[in-house]
Amino acid sequence: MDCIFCKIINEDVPSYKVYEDDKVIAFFDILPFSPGHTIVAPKHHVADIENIEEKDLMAMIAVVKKIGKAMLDGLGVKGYSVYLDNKSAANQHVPHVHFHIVPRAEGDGLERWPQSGYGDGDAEFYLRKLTKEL
Amino acid sequence: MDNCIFCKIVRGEIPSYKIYEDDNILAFLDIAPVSPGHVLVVPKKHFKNMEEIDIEILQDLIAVVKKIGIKIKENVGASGYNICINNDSVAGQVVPHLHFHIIPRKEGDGLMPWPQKEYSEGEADEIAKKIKL
Repeated sequence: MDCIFCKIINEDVPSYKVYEDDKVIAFFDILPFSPGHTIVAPKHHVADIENIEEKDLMAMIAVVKKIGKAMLDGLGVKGYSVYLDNKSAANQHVPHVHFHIVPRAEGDGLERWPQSGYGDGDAEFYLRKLTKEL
Repeated sequence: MDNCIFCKIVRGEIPSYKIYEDDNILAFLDIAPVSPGHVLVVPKKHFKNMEEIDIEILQDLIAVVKKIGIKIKENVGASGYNICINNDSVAGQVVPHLHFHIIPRKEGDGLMPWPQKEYSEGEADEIAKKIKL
């Protein structure tokens, strides 16, 4: 498979590995949003969160929690952001499902996206859409 | 927590647009959305952050996030979405009750990813040593 993360998992491409177990691997993003920015991925190739088995997703989030704590302890940061981007419209560049964990610092310039409000009846419209058959 | 806005929503003291509810989890619309259909998924029990939350509840949360993500794609006309947790105030966490955001996305919606940097010689090694489990 011509997948960069699979190549990292198979050690065909080198990486800064932070964690590894039977199911999950964690390594540095080499183009980090901040120093220590880590990628957490399943070892088995799955394109996106919709196709991953729930138990594997649960294994991933447990690793995210552990690494987050290691960032607080090891880097002395006061917080971190956890991201999972689904599909290219949401900036998923590598189609092998992964979480980003980004260590954060005051004044690091990483801004939240702007928020807006709902117009009259819009929230109800989206509520109906989202609760359909859920 | 008496003064926590999400606890008040969970208790029904403040109205919300509820998307999903079970014994441990509630999901509702963010009323100040980044994009229409922006959902928050919270544990009903108050945990401040990733460090406080029980792993089992965190795992239940991500399972619910997965289900809602599929609905966002099917029913809201999004071609993708971002899932995120801002863990602690330095990371932009405004309400200190752990929550996932699910933000529906469309091509060309103007929401830009953060700028990427590069490591200097030896820097990644040094930092990896500090995090490595």
